[in-house]
Amino acid sequence: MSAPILELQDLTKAFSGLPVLRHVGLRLQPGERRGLIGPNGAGKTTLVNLITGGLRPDAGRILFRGEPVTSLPPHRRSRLGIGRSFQILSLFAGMTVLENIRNAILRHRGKGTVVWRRLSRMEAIQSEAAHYAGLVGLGDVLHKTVETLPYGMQRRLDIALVLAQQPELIILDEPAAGLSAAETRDLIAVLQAVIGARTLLLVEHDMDVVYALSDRITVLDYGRVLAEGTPAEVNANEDVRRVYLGEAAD
Amino acid sequence: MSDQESAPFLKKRRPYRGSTKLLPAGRLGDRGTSIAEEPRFFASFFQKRRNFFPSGRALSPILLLAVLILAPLVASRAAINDLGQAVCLGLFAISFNIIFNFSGLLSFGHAAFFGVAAYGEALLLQQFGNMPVPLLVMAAGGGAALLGLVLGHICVRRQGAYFSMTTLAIGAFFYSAAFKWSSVTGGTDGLDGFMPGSLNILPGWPADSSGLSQTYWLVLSILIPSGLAAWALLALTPFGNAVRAVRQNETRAKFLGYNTHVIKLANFTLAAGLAGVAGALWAVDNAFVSTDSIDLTFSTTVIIMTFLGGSGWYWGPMIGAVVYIAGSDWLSAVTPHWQIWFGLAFVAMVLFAPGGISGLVASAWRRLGLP
Repeated sequence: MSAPILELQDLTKAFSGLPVLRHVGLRLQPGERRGLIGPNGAGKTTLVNLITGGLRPDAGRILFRGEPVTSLPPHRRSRLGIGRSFQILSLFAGMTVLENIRNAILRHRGKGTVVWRRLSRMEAIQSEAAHYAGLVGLGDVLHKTVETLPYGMQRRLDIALVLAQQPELIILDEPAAGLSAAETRDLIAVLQAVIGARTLLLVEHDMDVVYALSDRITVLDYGRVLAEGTPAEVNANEDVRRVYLGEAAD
Repeated sequence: MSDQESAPFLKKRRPYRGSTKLLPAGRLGDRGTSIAEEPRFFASFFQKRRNFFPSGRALSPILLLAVLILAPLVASRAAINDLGQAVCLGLFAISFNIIFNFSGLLSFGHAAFFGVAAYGEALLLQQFGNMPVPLLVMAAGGGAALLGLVLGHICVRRQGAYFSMTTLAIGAFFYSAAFKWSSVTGGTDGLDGFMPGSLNILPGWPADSSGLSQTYWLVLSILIPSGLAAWALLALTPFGNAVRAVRQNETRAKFLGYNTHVIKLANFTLAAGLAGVAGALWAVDNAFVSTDSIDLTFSTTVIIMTFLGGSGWYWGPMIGAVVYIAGSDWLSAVTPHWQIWFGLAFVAMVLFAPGGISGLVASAWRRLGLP
């Protein structure tokens, strides 16, 4: 086995005394696609925030490509190659689709705060932004502001922002939340087309999305890793069926 | 199952309630079209001649600056004296708005930067009166920017009301310092008589400092390029784009790799520097610096000027400052209680025209169908 791209060691986090994560360990191999599932309140989003820098753990370590990133701020981790989407949509309101994606590309190309060039003359940036909009099927609405887009398109824009920073590790936090069945199918197709060889950590409630996009699945329950394995193994796991899949089948 | 049974019934009923029946199509509709006709005529008139009419957005700053530059040719000495003050306060209001509009932070202590630079400029002119004025103004502005860098480091970490409270405390501190440290600032008497007999515009190019129009143009020759440079930085470059991105969604900007603290700090420093240039020019124009230029009232006056002119347009606060100075001059001659009336007008403005004067002009412009 090669060196893991992401390694979580013994992560523990409590909110005002209430433990949310307890000694969570996780190893992601480069190129792996990992689904992270668990009932509401299992600590999935907290785990995403610990990995991306939104929160600091109370104990434990986070290694990205073998280097500790446990105490780095979010923007430093982003620059190292960790990109995330948001469960609750987080876009640049008042800006167009193109401008939103451009924000990600400017930063990724190291031109985010250039003061000596006109932004409108940076054609390579503009066309790259248009390229990413096309990737997620937003090529026809480049100049529409975010608020005027239907929710499903806003979801895809959120993912375009992650892709545009070309991260080695893509973390998607419930990308299908609030989408209709048809929109979810579209989303799966888009993601299968664009993720390529990158490493994926996918937090999702919709099991269709998880099964379609994951090589392996980790199940989180009450802040602990309950099970880990291939989709078939997890599906067959007694504990998992009891706490999670059983509930979902109701 | 009962839902499905009732569905066809609903489908049958909806088209029956024709939507036209709810709208009084007759009289009101006719009147509506006749009113709408006129703007449409203007719209088509200007659309056909689009190439001859630059858009309002491009035209209005040029018009505004042209009026400011040409004013001494037509206006009285007293008016130019007022206008000189007003444009310096206008640049100050623009610098306030750079923090307010571009970073979404409301500063209650912005006069600290204006005042420190005004005192600094007075002391510089006292010591180095033979140096070119633009150099001295840039030195005072640079000092204010440096101060902004240090103080901004404390302020911009805080959000919303906490930012405002921190700037209020800083404003109060600098006012007290100016008030108490009378050996340097002259205390309540202020600083006077620091103007050299002749101002050096450039080395070997003196200007008579009592020539009012000359001083006014000297002020404008530094003020307009400074204002334009800050505008270009914020409106055209990736840096300006990053500042707006951080205001719109700081969290997302962080996770995209932007160091949002540094970006907000850079914008704060820019605003402090521009406030410093405004303060230094005001000292040159006014030839007198007192605690009025640094007290907390002044920090709130600039907020009123900004809202009056409109915070949504970069040059709006400049209009606000000119109108404020002209309005307060006129009102204070009419009634000693002018501040009450001004306050009421300000409240009305915030309630009914939050876009300020420039917002009103822009909507009138659009209603006429102008480009």
